[in-house]
Amino acid sequence: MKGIAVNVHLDPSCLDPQLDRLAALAGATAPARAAGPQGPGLGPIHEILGALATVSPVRRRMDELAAACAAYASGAALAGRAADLDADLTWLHRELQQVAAAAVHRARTLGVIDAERAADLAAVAGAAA
Amino acid sequence: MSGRAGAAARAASDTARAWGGHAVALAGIGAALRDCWSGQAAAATAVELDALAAHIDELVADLVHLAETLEVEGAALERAVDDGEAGAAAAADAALLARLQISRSVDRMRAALQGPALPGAVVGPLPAVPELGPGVDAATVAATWHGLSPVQRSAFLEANPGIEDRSGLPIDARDAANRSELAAVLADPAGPGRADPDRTGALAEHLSAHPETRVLALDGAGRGTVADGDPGAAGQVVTFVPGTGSSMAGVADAAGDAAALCAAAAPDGNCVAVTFLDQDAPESVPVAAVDRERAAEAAARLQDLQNSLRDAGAGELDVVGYSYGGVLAGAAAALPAGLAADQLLFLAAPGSTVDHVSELRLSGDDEVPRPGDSTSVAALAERWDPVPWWALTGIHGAGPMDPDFGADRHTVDSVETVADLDDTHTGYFDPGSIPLAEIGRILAARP
Repeated sequence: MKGIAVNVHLDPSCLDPQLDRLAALAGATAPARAAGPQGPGLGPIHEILGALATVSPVRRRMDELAAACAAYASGAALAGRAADLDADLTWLHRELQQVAAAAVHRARTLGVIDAERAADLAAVAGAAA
Repeated sequence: MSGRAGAAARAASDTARAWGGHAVALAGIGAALRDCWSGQAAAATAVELDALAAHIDELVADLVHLAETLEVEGAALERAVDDGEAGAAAAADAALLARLQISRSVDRMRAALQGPALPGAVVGPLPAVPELGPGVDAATVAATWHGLSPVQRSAFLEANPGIEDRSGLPIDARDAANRSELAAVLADPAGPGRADPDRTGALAEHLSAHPETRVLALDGAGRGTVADGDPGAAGQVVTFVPGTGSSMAGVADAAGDAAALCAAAAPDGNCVAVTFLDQDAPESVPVAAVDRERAAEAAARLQDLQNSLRDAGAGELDVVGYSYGGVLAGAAAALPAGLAADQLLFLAAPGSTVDHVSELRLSGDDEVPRPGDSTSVAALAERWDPVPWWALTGIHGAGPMDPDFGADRHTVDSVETVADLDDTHTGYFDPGSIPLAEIGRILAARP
């Protein structure tokens, strides 16, 4: 049993503050939200959705530009790109929250299992030496 | 930059900068996690953090591209629509639409294609990005950059190392690229050729405390330049060149001193402070006393920085060279093309690198270098500060406070007690102090 790699380490006093930082960062990435677009030229469905939903500042600004350019092909492209961007920002925020939550979960459960398994392996390796 | 397109561009830039900051913070957390946690669970978390970092990088690149599109093509369409010019609007519409149709998914597909495009293919391979030599002018860099897609830009940055630190790229693109570079260094601090972690760590902390910061330059050694806002939107930009002992490890203090200069110069707040730490400043006074090479080595980078600030549309440009930083600023202004600055202030400097102010060259909006004189070059020193007296040795050229040098001289005397003598070289930036008030008067005066 010689040569077993026991590369497991968990230091709660060091780990916990970092997990706290990760959770705080996940919270901080929530996009600032504002009332949705209400401008002319966006179409009735968009207006209804805009009134119900809230949007990121970048989407709101792009929608305002899109409304001003509604008579041109770029108007629809701007609105579409703004919606995609908004979805990306929301997805990234949620993903970061999930990664942070998963990290905490692993540290509290799997991390401990890892450490126990490592201790067992070390004991076996020590006995076999 | 104004109007709806400008507002949308600013929102996109602000979002890019915020996520660039998140990436830096995430990289620091990831590296710290590795120090205190290993094993399968830790490895799984590390994989997720790496994937997240890659997504953020892509988002930031997209946002920077979008911001530039809105600022240039979007603004052109808005102008044409507002002016009721149908022909111009149609052309601007086509240009904007083409830029907006550049998406990551199409870009990735193109990047994945090898060799020539297949007949009838909807998309072809991405054209190879150019490798620009070190002597290429900023206008060429700017035009090349603007024509590239987000994926191409990543390849362009790899093919042209350090180009994000030079004039040519827009300020926000430089900031995004340098934040990405900082995140990469923080994520793998033990990688080859890594900078002093004290420097990168200090910069990460500074960005966290001051999210409005733009990282205008950052190299592998941890040298770099930061601005405390958007220089292109400011009526006045003060570039602070600190001296002995300065480095990115002390960016918080140096940027604080720079901000104090701005606050004194423009009490209305319409001023952005730039802190030039893109130098190997002498570590000690004895080294600074005799070493001219370090100033000469960094002079071209200061010159390039000022050129980029002028290109960004910044208003009045002032350069303040403090202590050995004055020697550096003098060396930059003594270069043949001079320094893009409306005013140069030698602050407690031990030399100017030249014999007379007329050997320095400063250029204004017209980019024509003109000999310095008492209207464009000033010098200030505390009466009891010993450092400016070193100029008597001539090692760093004539002293800016020398009457024969020809600068607009200002001597201040703020020593009231013997204890004050200890602070004569360090008290220039103290809020409410006599020296800082005088500096404010000098910088506020239009040359």
